[in-house]
Amino acid sequence: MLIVDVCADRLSYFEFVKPVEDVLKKANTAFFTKHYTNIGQSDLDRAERIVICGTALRDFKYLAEVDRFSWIGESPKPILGICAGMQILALVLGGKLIEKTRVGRYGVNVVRKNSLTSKDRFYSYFLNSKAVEPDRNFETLARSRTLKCMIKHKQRRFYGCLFHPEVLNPEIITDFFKEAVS
Amino acid sequence: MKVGVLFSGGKDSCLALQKALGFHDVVCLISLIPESEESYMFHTPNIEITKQQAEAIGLPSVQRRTRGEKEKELGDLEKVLIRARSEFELEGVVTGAVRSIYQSNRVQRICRKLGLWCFNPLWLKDEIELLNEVVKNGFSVVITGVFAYPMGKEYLGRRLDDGLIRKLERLKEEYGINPAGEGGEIETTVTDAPFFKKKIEILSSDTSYKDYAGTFRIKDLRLIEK
Repeated sequence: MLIVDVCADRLSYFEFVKPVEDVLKKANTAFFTKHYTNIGQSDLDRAERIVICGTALRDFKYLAEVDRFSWIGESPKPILGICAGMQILALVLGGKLIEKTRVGRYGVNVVRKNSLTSKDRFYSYFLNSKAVEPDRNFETLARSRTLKCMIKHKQRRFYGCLFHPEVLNPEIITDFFKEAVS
Repeated sequence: MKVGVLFSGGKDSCLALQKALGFHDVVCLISLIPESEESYMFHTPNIEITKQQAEAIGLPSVQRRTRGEKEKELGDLEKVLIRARSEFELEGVVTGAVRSIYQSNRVQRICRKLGLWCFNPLWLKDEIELLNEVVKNGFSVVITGVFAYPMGKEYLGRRLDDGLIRKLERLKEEYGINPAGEGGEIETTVTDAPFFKKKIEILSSDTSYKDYAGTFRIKDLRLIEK
């Protein structure tokens, strides 16, 4: 598993990347972590699946450098984008962002059965100042009120979570791993 | 980046401070001193000595008293952050939040409102990993509060070491106590760490304990050269 760190500030690594690493460690899943500015073709070849992590509320550097994620367009590997990672996934594949701040624990309603959760509804932790209006090639898996908070590409195994599953729903990350190897 | 650290004087805020020092220019320590022991956000035993701890560390301390009433103390937090931003040109705030969504999302919201970055470098950190890191990094940590069955008076005033960590690990297995005190089971005060310029010597203290709840209150201390 390749974990992609998108944090512009190194102190944010401990808050947004290390918790995802810890979920994978607990599940005995092998991974390696690279910052998005430092990903090479050999990393993409080596990874069997990819998680793109979130970052701090005031961090928008990744949006100015979204071209660095052009590899997503050609990637045959399953990808899970978390918060900023979901924004990147949507932007690279033709979607757009909308201004929407959500901070804290909110209910999530699953609207389409999927491999990342068997639940119909659950609570999750949100920390975002932008939400996603994905391209029509994505389908919505879950909503929080009107917000599309879980999406999947219709043809490819690309998933997005606007919330941070590492906080209250770590099984979504481990289920992504299982889905990806199935 | 110029950052201030929300500082209670316990192991978590000190470890968060140590991490922040590795990446940013820490310009002040920020403490709210609650008048109520029921404060949802800020109460710890010995919060009153955070000024001396800041002096020992060698950083300015920005403090504000709060009545410690739910939600109202958030207004006090906002005011003290505004003051710190003005006095020290603060660009970001660092907290020692580990698992409390209640605390972390309130600080996140206030920081967003004030245009400040918010960093939580201990977020979701494994409790035993956290305790081991504190001991391995050479912190001197005193247990200053216990608030859970079956924790006895003997924990109060005791220094955190490998043996105590093993004991806390067993309490977790047998009684579900969070070994890092995330549920408020344990409170700590740090008297020395590698980034302290002077260390704190406790000269006198008193202990109160009843029904598995007790505190170790530092009454008198002095700073000594290292």
